[in-house]
Amino acid sequence: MHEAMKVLEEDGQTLRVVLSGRLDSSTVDEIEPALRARLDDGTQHVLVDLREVSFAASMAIRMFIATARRLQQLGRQMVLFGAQPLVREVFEHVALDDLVAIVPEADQALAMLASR
Amino acid sequence: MDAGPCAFELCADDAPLRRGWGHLEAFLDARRCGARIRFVAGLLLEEAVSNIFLRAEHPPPTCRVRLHLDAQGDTLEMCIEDEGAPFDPCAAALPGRSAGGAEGGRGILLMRSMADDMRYARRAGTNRLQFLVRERLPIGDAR
Repeated sequence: MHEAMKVLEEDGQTLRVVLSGRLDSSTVDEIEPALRARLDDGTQHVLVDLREVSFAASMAIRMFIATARRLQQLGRQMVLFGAQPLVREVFEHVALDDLVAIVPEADQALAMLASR
Repeated sequence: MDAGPCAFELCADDAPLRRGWGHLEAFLDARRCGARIRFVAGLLLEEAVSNIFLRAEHPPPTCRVRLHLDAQGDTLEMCIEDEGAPFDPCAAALPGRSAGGAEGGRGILLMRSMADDMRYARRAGTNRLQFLVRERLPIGDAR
């Protein structure tokens, strides 16, 4: 597992993926295969914790969209939460929230998954 | 590093993004640039150099990019030059809203959205992409 990614069991239904540091092209190249392998094994919904992510470029956007779509095809959901202001600004410019659920706080993310 | 303008050369066969970020970070540290300038400058470097080196159809291993940096007050000037095929990201088509994962162009959209000014010129066989980035609050915090 890459040092910029930790996968924690939230409960039986949900995994929490904690990302940290810079999500640039080299980091995404390393964590995306590990993330895919980990998520393909499971049946849970996924919370992505972005509180410690300091930078996100277009490769990170592509990874989030591809992961959300893959999970959706498997009947599961993904919610991003905790993005810092400049990361949130990047998400807003590419209208990421049209394609991927994004909320400010962890409890909102959990509530969103519980309501589905 | 002194406080004047700086120029660096990045090569396709020598980890250009990692080396470029190292040069940029040292420059920004020396001038005590703020959080927004640091973030946006890193983003512009990542997207522009990725376009030149990684997304070109046949990037030659010796392909080079020149990075010019200058900081005055709360403004960073950044210029990226390459001698590849002409390509104007200021005029390139952008992905539609809600574009699917396979559609490209988000890097160009981000450069155009996050830079305070972005200009392209083609002169003497060189692409010249010039950016201005100013320190200010992120969108969400400015409301």
